[in-house]
This record gives sequence, C-alpha cells and structure tokens, in this order.
Amino acid sequence: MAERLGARSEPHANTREFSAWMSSEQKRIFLLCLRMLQEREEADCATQDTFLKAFQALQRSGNDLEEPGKWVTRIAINTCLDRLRSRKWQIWRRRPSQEDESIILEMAPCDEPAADDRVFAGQIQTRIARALQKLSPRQRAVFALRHYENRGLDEIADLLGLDAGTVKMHLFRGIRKLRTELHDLYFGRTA
Amino acid sequence: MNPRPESHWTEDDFIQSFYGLKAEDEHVRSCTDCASRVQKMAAVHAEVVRPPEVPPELLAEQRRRIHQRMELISRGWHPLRWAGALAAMAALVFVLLLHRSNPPGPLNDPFFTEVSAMDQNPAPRAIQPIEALVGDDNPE
Repeated sequence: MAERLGARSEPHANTREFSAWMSSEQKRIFLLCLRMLQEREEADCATQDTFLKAFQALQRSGNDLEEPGKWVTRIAINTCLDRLRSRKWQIWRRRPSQEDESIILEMAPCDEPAADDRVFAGQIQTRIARALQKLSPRQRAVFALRHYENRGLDEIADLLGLDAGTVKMHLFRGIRKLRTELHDLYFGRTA
Repeated sequence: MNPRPESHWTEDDFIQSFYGLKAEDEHVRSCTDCASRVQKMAAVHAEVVRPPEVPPELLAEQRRRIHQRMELISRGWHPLRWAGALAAMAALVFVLLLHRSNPPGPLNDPFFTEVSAMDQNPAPRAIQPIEALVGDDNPE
C-alpha cells in the first residue's frame, strides 16, 4: 500500500499512480462497503464512488496525503453512511434479496475447517448480516469496523470523527440489538 | 478447582469484553475456565470474519468502470455542468411547441380590417405632402 499519495503536475503520471494505489486498496474497500451495506451491487457502486471522490479530491487539493489508507477508509464509511441513511426511506428494501444473501454466503471463508463448522460459520454470518438491518447507520459502521476489521475503539472514533465515548455507546447499543446472534455465535449452535 | 466460581463472567460480560467495552479483571486472568472461553471466542471470531475471496473478475470490472468515470472527470465532463444547458434547451423547445400549437387567429380582427381598408382606399392621403418633404429625394 502506498504510504504517500499525491497529485503531480503531470495528469497522466498522476492517474497512473492513483490507479496503482487504487488496486492495492480496492478489495479492502469493497469488503468494507459490502459488510456495511450487505448488498453486492450497492457495495460495488459505493466502492466506485469512494475512489472517484478520492480522485477528485486529490485533483482539487494537489497536496500529498500522509495516510491515504485511512483517508480512503473514511471516504468509504461516509459514502456507505449516506447510502444507509437514504435507505431509511426505501421501504421496499428492508432486507437483502435472496440472491445477495446467497452471494454473501458463497463468499464466506472456504478454507479447511470441518464441513459443519463451515456451514455453521456461513449460517451465523448470514444471520448477523440480516440482523445488521436492525442497527442504525452509525451503529452498523461502528460494529462493522470493530467486528470485521478488528479496529480499536479510538481508531474507529478517529475514522468516524466521533469521540470515544460516543463510539462506545453506539457499539454497546449495537451489540445489545445483536445479542441473540452473538450469543449463538460464541456460545452455542442454535442457528 | 476454581477459587471463585461465583464470580465467573456472564456471556454478556464476555461479549462486551471481546468488543472492547469491558476491561479484563483479575478473575478472568486467573480463572482457567473463563480464560479458555475467551480463547474459544477469539477462535470462533477469527473463523467467521476471515476475509472472503472476492472474484478477481468482479474487481477488474469495477476498476474498468472507475477508470471510465475518471476519464470523464479528467476531460472536464460532468453531468451537472450540462444540466443547466439541457434545461434551458428543453424550456426553449417547450415554448416553441406551445407557440406552434396556438397559431395566430384569422385576419378578421377589427384592427387588421381597418388597416386593410385604409390600404385599399384609392383616395389621396393627407400625409403624402409631409412625407414628400422629409423623403430621400429632398434636395436638402
């Protein structure tokens, strides 16, 4: 991953450098969007929007970035939050489609653990994905960054532009809403 | 076996601790049962959240579309830039269509009738001498 990313005077060189950096970050950003939005097509659009916003911002500012990874993560989170907030009014999409659920299931880890463990992991992932619909956009962002990306609470606060206390509150409320699924995940197999 | 079995953590305690909302205390550090549950949780979590495989063709197609949009931006094309011009053009077309659908009325308007009658009148016009004074053929 590039440690610095900047806007050069030559546009072609600039675009090439941006494309190389984008390729290194693309999968991570797509997965973050997918985990926050739980819909492949929407995650795809959010990823595209994220990199385009980054490209435009770099063209405008012309400054080098010290932490481009963190910066683009913040753009991705805000893009997903905007999409989640706009979903509030879209009553026809209260839950992901069957097709999206099956895609998320297919994309579950598929290495070597025992077959029943894999099935269980897939089931519980789907249940958690469904249960995420119960969370507010901010709760979902905090939970996704903590649960899937294992980020520290201070780091999450920095990414979301919130103080640590607010992040803790969002996480606490989110976990409370996901209580059943998380208990099944960690302590039992009632899925 | 456990020195303080009554103070085992609840499942909610474990979950809150796992997500960073509750600090580990002396009991969890010293109790083998609780410590093993923490380890088991970590193993389950690692299994469930392992980064999934994303089809490379999906990422390639996504990059292609991003590059397309980047190129449009680099050329200075932006949908909003054209929105104003398109709106003005649509308004102009609308006005023209409206005008065409309401053609001027027949020429039986009293004003036009009167003007026509004056034009057809062969009688000499009173203003002709004045026109002759200010006309182009005036020697002045």
